[in-house]
Amino acid sequence: MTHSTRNQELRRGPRAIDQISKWLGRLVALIGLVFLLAPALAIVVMSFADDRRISFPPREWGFGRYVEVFTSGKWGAPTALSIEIGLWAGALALIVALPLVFALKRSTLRGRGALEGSAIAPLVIPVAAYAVGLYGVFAQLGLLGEKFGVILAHTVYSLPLVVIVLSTALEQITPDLELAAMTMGASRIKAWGTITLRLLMPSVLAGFLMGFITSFDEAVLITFLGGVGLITLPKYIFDSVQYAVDPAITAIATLLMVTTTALMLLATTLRKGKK
Amino acid sequence: MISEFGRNAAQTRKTKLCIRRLVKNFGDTEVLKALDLDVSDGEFLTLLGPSGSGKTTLLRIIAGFENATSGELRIGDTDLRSLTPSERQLGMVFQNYALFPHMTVADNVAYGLKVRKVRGAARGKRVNEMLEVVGLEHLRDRKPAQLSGGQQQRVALARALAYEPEILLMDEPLGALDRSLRLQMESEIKRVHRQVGTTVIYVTHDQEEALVLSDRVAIMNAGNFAGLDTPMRLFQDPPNSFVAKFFSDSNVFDAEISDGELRAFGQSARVESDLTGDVKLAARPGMTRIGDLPSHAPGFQLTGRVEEINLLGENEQVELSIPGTQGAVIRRPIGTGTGVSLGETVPVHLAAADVTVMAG
Repeated sequence: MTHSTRNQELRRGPRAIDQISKWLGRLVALIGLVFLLAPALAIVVMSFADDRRISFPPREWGFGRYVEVFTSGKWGAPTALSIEIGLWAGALALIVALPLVFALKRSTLRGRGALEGSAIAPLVIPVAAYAVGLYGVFAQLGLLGEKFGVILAHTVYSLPLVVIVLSTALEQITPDLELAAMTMGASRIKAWGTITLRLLMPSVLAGFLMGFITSFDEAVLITFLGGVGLITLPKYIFDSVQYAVDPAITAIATLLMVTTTALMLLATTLRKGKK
Repeated sequence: MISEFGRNAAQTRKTKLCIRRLVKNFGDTEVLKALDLDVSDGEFLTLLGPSGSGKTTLLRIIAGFENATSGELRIGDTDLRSLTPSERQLGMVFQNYALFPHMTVADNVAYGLKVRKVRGAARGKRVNEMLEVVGLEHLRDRKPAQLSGGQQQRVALARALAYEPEILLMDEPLGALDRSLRLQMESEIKRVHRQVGTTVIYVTHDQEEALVLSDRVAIMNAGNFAGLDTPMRLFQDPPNSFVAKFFSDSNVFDAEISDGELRAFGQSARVESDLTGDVKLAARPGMTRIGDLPSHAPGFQLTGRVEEINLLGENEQVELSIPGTQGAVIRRPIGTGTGVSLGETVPVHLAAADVTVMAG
């Protein structure tokens, strides 16, 4: 083998590996996407069926299931409860997260790292294990089956996302802006309100939406802590598939997916829009 | 001389800012060591120094972003240290511009007027005036993100001057700009200063900026003022070897002096100096020359080896190693003197008239 051809070989080797790994990566991503999206798509398709039982592919098409969701009166109460708990959890998570991120990013407070860690912790603790722990605590405090208890649990559960959204946004806002406002005569509060908080506002809204969605979608904590009386939408779906499958679930699931996706897109647009 | 005029003018004006025995410690580290400084009304004073010299800390203490550990800081009879940044009536231009991204150019300039409750027509008029001063009337409705770096810095300047601050503080305002824009902005800042007459305290690590802009320069080193004078005096007659090296890139050598007889490199020459004992001898790169000392002229004759030749546009810079010293740098207009090449051994001389003698 001459010198030049060996050089070519050496060069071709890594390039082939690059190509293969590139295509392998795309294939894996595609398979993942199909596996994640296929059930969701199937649900959407089945929600427009008028068959008496859930089957795929549907034989008769129609809007019967949506009609049932809105007329049966069974879904209204769980939806209202989910929205109520979601709004509270989103708002409370925001109230905790907003001062927290300022302490984390703008102060010289001791133990900032530990504080950040504990705020993010619910993200890494398995939710079932966490729910069992909370069950014990709530039993002692008499919070089981109480709306307030579920709101607290959901607040803690959605806190990590809200904190992450707010702290990444705050990191983009240089402290010099606030200092500039202060040298121009604005009081500390005014500088904070008209500059930093104003710039953070889209992310505050995005954070609130993320908190709301997290609570709205949550099915494990409510199962442990909700008792018999508190039935949120995800809980109601669970309950209704336990003994017999109500075909209207496909319609409600589709509505949920559409709403959640829309809210997520809104949150993302809010965060991106401010740049 | 212009610099002398500037100096005298500064001295006859009344004092604007008065700093006495100002100390700043971060933990056990002394960042500022008992500084005294008087800044005259309308003066353009530059704080120049390497990073970590304390110049930015001093500016931030004046602005109120940091608290001094001890000492006095006054504007007239007003003790600044008892005031918050909002109450100090100062203007500040930041290196990263710090423009409010959600406001238009005009709203940025109006901000200081707005918080001072200047309303309606008066506010609009002042904003227009300031935008005119920096030549940005046509961009008043743009957002900062739509402006170039130079334009943003002009907005920052207009914004800080709009409410007629007592003192304008500038923290390396040209640090983020490229060279040609920097030169342009230097003239712009100079013109605006002449036009509005505000007292300016300007922080930079760039000696060229300090030379071009300042009435006086305070050269900082390790929390002290190593030199405080007009740029021309500091340049031509540095008080110590730090200023000589940092401000005019001078070559500094060890020497000894008694009765005006300067001894160095085993030679001696008569100079005008009252010092005695161990001293430093400094010569700027432009005053250190290749070639033999003219006969009968007092001075020092050396020999150096050419280690590096760099082209600096109009000038070339020749780096020499000279045995027994830390070497020397020579700058001369290209095409003048005898040609030299890398590795060549060449004669070098310092004329006694061109060197400065200093205590340390």
